[in-house]
Amino acid sequence: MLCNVEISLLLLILGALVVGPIRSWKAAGWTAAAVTAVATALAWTDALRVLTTGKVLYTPVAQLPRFGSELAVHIDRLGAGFLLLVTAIPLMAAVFSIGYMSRYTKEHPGRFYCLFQLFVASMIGVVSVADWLFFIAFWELMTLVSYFLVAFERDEPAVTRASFKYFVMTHVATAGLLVTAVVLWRATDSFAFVEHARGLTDAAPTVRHLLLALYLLAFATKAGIFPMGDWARDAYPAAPSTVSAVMSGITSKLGIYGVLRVFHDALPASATRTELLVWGIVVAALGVISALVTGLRAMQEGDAKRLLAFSSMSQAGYIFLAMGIGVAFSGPEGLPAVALVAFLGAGFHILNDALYKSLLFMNAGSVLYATGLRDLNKVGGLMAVMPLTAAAGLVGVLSLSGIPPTNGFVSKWLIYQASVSGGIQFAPFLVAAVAAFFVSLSTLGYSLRYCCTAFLGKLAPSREELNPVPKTMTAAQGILALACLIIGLSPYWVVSGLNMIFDSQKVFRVGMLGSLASVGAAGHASAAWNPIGLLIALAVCVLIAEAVRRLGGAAVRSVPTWYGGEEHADDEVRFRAHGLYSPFNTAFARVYPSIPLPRIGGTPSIRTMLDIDRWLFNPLVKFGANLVSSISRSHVGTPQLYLIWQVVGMAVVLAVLLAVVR
Amino acid sequence: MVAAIANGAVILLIAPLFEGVVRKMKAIVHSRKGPPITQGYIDILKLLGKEELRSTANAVFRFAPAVAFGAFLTVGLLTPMGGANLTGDMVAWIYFLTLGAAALIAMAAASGNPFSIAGGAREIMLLLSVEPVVVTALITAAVKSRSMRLEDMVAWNAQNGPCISMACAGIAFFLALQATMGKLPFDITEAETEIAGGPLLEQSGPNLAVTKLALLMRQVVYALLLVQVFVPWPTVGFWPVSVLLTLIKVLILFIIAAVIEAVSPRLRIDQAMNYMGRVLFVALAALAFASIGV
Repeated sequence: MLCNVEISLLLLILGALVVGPIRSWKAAGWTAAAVTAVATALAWTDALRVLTTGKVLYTPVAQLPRFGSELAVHIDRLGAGFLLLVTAIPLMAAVFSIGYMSRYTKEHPGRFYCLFQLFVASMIGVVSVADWLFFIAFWELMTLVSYFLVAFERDEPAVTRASFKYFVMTHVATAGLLVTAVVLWRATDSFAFVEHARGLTDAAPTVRHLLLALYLLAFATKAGIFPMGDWARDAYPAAPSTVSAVMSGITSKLGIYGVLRVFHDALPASATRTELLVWGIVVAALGVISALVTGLRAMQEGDAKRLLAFSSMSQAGYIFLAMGIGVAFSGPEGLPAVALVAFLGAGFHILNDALYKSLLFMNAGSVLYATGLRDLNKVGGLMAVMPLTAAAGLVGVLSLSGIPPTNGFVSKWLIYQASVSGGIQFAPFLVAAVAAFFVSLSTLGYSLRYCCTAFLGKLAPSREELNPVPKTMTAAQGILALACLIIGLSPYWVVSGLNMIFDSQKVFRVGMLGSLASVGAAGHASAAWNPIGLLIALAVCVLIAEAVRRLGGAAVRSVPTWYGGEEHADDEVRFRAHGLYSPFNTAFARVYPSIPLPRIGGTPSIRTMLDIDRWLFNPLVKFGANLVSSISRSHVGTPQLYLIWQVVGMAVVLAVLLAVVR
Repeated sequence: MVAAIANGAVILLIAPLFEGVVRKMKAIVHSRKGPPITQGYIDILKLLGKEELRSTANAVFRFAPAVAFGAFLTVGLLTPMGGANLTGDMVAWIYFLTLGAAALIAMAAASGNPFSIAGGAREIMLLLSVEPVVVTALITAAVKSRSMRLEDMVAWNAQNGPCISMACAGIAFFLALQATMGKLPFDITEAETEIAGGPLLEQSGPNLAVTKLALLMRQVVYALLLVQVFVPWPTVGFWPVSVLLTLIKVLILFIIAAVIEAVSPRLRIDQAMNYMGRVLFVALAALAFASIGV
């Protein structure tokens, strides 16, 4: 009996085959979206069942007894939580791409949608196995497929370079994963997660820490942590916006999933208090450095999608900070309440970043679609022409900078609690809390840089007519923006869901209107948050402001903008993105410089080898075309020729029949 | 709940009075006669009746002042003042202030005026240099009181203070106060002689009145928090007297701020960042003291 996750996997693979030959971008897009929607629904039924009942979904598929490996669907609560995101975000992206991908009129849609469906399937695979061999198999498939998706605009040299960098960097890191898997396989004769956790416990201390470092390296690279995740700054801008939305939204989060698997599931049972603290500090330090460096770098960026790429790296840093604190205080001798708050913060931030980062990449994609530009120095005032996109972008930006009452606030609230509570025990985490606040403000800085320059201000003149943005693109963004707001207003159910995933201990009490208040567990600095109550308060206060405004009954009149008494065309005095924050950026100019990569000899041939079009797609198409044209050569319209064919055919049939009957 | 609403009402109604006092103080330092103490109210009332000029049809420009006002007033509800405040902690307090600042910056960008956007960008840079100090001071209080709720911090300090770390954090907060209030020498965001009022430039009439009220409330809220968390003594059980005492302390802070404003020239943003970087060391020292338990 197949379980729903398997059916959705098969459906996606089948979908990839079905969608391949469709020649119209629109039809292919709708088909892909429909297939993804069904697959999502199926996967969600299973994931929600696992989440609510807590019973692990286990369906064996195949055994490899020789390797001690087993292909089985094995979904526990952590996997189920990720399964929800791993299907939902690509679904939104699929809806978005119906409109968006139609800008690539010259390309064949099969080149995109086949790979896109496989990409989703591979991500589902990654979170639904409990066996390192198949985890790595799906992981590699995911990397490979996403490489081709990043390299979609292969005619651009910048894109080929970026995708190649992505491919090499993630592969080098995955090699580390392979090494750990093989070493632990030799020790335990099995590839199961549980066995490897035991193997990690039994290993000599040096080996164990080396293996842990390799795991961390592999997963941090995928998650886009500075400096290992340096590929992200090039790959996200290079990929089509749909792909960057999925990759930044959820694929990079799978790196965090890996870290959780190792450092949350496997490590605490075996490690001593000091070891946990040290690894916690390492993870948290990676996070803080990444958040700071890339956050400051994003403030200098003028390319909309690269700005968001830096932002992804920065938010991944937040998640690592929270996870580090969680690891540091986990284990039987730690402080379970502090660890839990930290993991709640990490989990909530994963959800939030998946929502608003994919929203914002789609948003930047919409700007790109409408204007053909990514450069924030050249676009401006788009709110006048695309108000819905601007509104969605505004919600995304507020959520990204953690402004209440959006969802971004809640995860930051949790992370600050974790770092202050952790800091009371171990002072350096207090500095991490200060750094996190600082990064949060720089987030506001760079997200306003995006939002203010692209949407607010005067409409920038463009050489061409603006492309109207299709409804599907706006719809996908609208749904994500709504999700951001709804989760922000009722965070208690996400918190209780995460509570089930990480630890059943209660650290928050749910009060009136879905407010959260700490129950005063040991070591947890008391805190409270009442989103709906404060939203009502805010709304009343805004209404008071409106009432005050109307007191005098003043008239309203439209006037031209005041340029210090001089007359200027709007574009002459436009405040461009590169001018924003220049004193600040001068002070921090050297924080994350671009290092030009040395040219590697022999890469063109490797690139040729990796170019699936050259050795698979193009030859296949050529073969098919030749076949068809040779068949069509027989159809010349001469009846006599057809007669001859008929006679020859009959003779062949007769010969075959005779041969068979005898 | 009632106490929180009273908090908000007091802050809203008294903010213009402090403005009047500040202007009177500056006039005294300058040996001028100066406007009457009620000038803050008069200005607001006058602006409410004036025509509202709009340089853009953008909805953000139209509604951002109200949002900023609402955000800063909500912060007022969250700030403890004698009685209880709404359910929220230091994170909510800081982020509602950030919401207000974001609204002001969005308003500046929406106006389409390059002076305004320059002011908005300066606002963020100033926030980036000031907020770490404020946050570090508050985290010090959180470490000492084992709670991130503002009212717990106030209660803890009133009972167990004064101590070295809290005093140190209070000094850091005080050194940052001039910048959080947006007063000279940190009047960089508005800088009338330079960028003609920055974010306020295109606002006029009622919306300017709302924006001004919002900014005045922000000044009061910062001063109020400093007074409450770091100098909560003497504690009086009777609520109105305690509020009155707090307001007198705030008034003293405003007078000090006015004197500093009257005698100092404006700094450049990089100088302000330098200064705040040094103040941050004081705040971090407070944090270090707190973590060793003094």
